Amino acid sequence: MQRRIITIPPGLLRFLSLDWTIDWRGQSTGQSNAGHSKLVYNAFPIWVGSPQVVLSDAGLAQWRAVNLQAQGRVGLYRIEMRDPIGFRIPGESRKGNAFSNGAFFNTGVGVAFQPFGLAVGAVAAGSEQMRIDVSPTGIAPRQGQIMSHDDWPFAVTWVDHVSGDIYDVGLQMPLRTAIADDATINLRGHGLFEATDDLMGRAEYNINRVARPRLSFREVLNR
Amino acid sequence: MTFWPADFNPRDDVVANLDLAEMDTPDGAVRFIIGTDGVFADSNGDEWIGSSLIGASGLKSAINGIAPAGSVSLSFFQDPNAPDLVEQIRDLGLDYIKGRAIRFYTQPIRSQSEYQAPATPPILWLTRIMRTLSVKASGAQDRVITVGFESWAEHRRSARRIMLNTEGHAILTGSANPSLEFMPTTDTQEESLFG
Repeated sequence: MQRRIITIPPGLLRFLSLDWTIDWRGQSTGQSNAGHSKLVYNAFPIWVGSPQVVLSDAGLAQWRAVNLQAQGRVGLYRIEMRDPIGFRIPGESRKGNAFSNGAFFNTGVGVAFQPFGLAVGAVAAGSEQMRIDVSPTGIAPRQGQIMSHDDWPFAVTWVDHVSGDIYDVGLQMPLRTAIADDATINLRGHGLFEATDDLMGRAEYNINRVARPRLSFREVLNR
Repeated sequence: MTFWPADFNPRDDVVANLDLAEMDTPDGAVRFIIGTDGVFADSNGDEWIGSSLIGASGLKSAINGIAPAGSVSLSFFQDPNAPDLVEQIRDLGLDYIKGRAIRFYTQPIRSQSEYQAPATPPILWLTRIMRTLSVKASGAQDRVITVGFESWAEHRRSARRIMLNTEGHAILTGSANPSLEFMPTTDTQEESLFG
């Protein structure tokens, strides 16, 4: 089947709770009576997340439109993995960035801002560290931050300041694609996810017209 | 151990590996990962396509009188809008795979990085000859394509013998004749003869 990719508009989801993490997909034989266990890892690790979001009125209707476009588990969601603890831009508005004169588009929405850095030197797939130049934003990478390249997200495990805006960062999971020299690294990770359930995202609202659905996403490896 | 690389301990409390299968076809080798998703690029530069729809039966070694039988299968739902996979496989025919090798490899993974950047090539541990191709359909869209290899009854169907039917009798007498054409092949009595 054709799996269309639906980009979730960055300002649409307001997160009540977030739990982006890596599922390493190990399988255990179970714990023995002596208390030890054997583990087998024979699958590629994937990102998973089940954020809870709050939606109201127009946003709720828009989410419904986004959700239904994905046709259950057929479509893929391209998700900006918001993570205020790991990365935030001071003073950033959910509406997007205003023009220099403070004005928004006449829909009331600003310009989407995608903070990015640049890879310094090519990095091979499977690498667990890379050098990154954050001069486009000037925001230093942080431990625990989720970044991505080419929609393959990874988290930062350690940061070492080299000079100026250049940092060495440790990565987990190990890079799944090679990164070319000077390639764009999204400082706020993007990933391609699928719903874990066809009914994922159904938003029940009350008389107060607010819904708090818990979404559930699983990264897609076969692209 | 010579089978595994020196730095891989298969008795570790935590082990990681990938089960790989390679089918030889006239169009070159086709490579799969059994039972999981993703694409694995091995150190030889070959790509192995994973799908959790691909499964293998228990694979046996020919020891203690056990036949080295087995099968790999692909179970899937046929998308009505996509080309019919079963028809495509039928068009290729059994000769596409019959008598050719299917090789099973295991890829030792010593660290999570090796999923993306393996340090050693996959290790061949089993080679079998593909013999059969069967398709199972249940319901409107549920399909299973199975490739079988090397069963204990391998040569039974193709054994040289004369069957008790028209063709067999023609072979026996050396000329075509209609003998045995109406030979009863079942003992069902449509009408009871007595009582």
